[in-house]
Amino acid sequence: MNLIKDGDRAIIGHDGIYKIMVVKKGKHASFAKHKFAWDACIGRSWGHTWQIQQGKLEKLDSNEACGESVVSKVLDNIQSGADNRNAADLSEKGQNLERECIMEMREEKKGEELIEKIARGNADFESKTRFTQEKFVRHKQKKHGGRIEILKPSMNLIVHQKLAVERTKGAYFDVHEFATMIAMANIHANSKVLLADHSSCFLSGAILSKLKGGSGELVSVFQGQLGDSPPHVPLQNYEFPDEVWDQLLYYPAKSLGKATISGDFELPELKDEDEDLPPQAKKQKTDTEDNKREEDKSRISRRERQEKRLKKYSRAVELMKEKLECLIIAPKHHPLPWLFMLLPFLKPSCPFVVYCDKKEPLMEIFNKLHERKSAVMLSINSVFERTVQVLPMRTHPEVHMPGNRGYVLYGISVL
Amino acid sequence: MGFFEFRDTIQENDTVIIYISNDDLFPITVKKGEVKQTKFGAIKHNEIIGKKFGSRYDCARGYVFLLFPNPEIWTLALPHRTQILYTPDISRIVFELGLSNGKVVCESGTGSGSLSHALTRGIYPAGHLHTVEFHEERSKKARQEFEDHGLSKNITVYHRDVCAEGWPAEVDHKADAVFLDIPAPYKAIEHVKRALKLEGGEFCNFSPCIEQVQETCVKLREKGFTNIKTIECINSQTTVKTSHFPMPDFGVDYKDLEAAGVMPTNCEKIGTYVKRLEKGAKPKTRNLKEEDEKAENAVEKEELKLSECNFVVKSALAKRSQYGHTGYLTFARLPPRDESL
Repeated sequence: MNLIKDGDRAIIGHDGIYKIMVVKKGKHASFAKHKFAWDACIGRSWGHTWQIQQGKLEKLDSNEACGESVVSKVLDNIQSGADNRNAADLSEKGQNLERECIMEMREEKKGEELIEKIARGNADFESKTRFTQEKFVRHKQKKHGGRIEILKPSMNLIVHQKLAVERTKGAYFDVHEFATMIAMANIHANSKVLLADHSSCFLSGAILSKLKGGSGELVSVFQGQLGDSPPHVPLQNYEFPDEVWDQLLYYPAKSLGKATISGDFELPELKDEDEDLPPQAKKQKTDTEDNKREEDKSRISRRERQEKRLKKYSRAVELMKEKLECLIIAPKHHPLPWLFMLLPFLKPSCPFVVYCDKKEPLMEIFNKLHERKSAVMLSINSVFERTVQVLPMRTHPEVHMPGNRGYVLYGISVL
Repeated sequence: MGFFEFRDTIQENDTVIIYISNDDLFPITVKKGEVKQTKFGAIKHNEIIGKKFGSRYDCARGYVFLLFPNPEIWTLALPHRTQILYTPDISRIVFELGLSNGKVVCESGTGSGSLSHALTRGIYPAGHLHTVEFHEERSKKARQEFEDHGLSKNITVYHRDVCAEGWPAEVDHKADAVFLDIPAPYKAIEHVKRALKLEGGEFCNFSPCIEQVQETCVKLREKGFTNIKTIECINSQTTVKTSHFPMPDFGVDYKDLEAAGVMPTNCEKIGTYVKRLEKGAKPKTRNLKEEDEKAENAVEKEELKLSECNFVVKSALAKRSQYGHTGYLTFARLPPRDESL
């Protein structure tokens, strides 16, 4: 069975608000201003709900883990009114407790007790209806409850977490568009995928986790020049084994233009590092024996790195010459040049998806493809998605829903 | 053939999707000597063997494309035995269930197998899909279809009632994820729990009616599921069409209209109108003394009427009728059951 180990990456949080963290023995972490030590969860299984209690983690039983249990516990000893005829207006100051006081209590009191205190501090709480009270408790529980789940990172959880963070910085795609792209591109573990991704590795991470354990390969055409490699820091959250890294191949966009016009794909040359070293370093090299040994070590690793990169480049070129089986494009540029540059590397009868947060560039692509008759099944997809609150007698769509969503163009290449 | 093993050329016994338009596509199984009639004329199977997937086939009265199947095309082309799930819902389900190579998924009901193909893609090639259908004839047809698509290694179809019996005992505590699309999902939650791994797993339910969702959510909370979330997603699919707007006749010429600031910009036809004016064509408007002018310039200049010019606009249009509701998707997670660990 899979247990939490010291040094593992974990997704922690609750109710859709999550953070990716590294579990460290003897260290503290904080979530929503609740500080806690990791120690209690190490050696336990993933997926439990924990209560942060005076800086420590306490595991909750499965019947307590459900948020609704707090609601009934808190409201057990509290009366409620028949209707809201005596309720205070929303604009009036409702809470008798000061903010500092609540923050102090968070340190000492257990979740339910704290929520009960806050509830009793609310003006006229007992005269409110049960429904209003429940809503209040649910809201305060989310804010001050100090409950977290510790989950094993998986592709969907990482994407959910990352997209939630990115969206606050300035919209990129939403989960639904992301899911649509991955599905429509027909990616499975044995797919040969061609990708242009400028979304801080959202797509490459998700695609690689789909290719895991299969014979598939991902060719990422990245913004850069010969000899570079694409950014991969955000991929660390996935903790891929070495085999998966081998499935990631790449080729720089700057050399692609020449390649499509002349048909010759440039490859980086292997350099002896003496050439690149500044003259000073060359001098120092001869200084001592110790230094020399270290230099040798770094030379080997550098040489190895170059060879590894060359291998990735040449395999990518090989696959592009053979043509690939699906194409995904989500650039920060106008998507049209990207699509028409990469479309020749897609086999006929294979799907491609293009993401853009504006509709007009995709309409232009649509027209161009339609005129050239180089694709069928063309459509531009966008989604209206809303979350529904499901509670006995109180079911309705949630008040807020995400607006300004992106568009996904789908098509199948034909001869 | 292998549904997920892409091949360049068409061979006998392959499933080929005949594409006529986005709303008109259907599968055929290629058999030597057979002929398929379409609205454009006959497709001779002998002629398409050896052709490349993605190539055009000319019929007597039009042409079709020969496509390699994938779950999205299959969803649009498959023979409907029941109501089916479509790509917007499917892609979200597959994503939220966290499927990846090697995982085990349970599904009920199989229905027409629209979702089954996408679920299998998620766990292909090392994983397995256990799908239960209570309609005997449908379960047989689905089994045959999966076999034709080379997927019988990854899919097992069972004919049983999931509410009464759940999945077979050998699947107990094997599943990483479970999906339900049945009339009374709340009756099967106990079986869902039995199928899911002891270390927990993901669950998704699809129900068209809110009452079903309501009861299911109550049951899920009762059985210890957490992170219960219900969403509804409606896809709006558009294609780009060219629309023509005629120009109203105000009795004056283009230049006067532009000076008055009442002309739309970026229109194709008005551009050609202006070009022809510049080349020497003569505008024809009501306020000019047409008769006199005509007599003067009749030979040199052709006459142009602004009201005859259409303004051409490319716009993204949704279908006239589209899905306003498919169903509610409820997701939930089952935490690990061993409390001591």
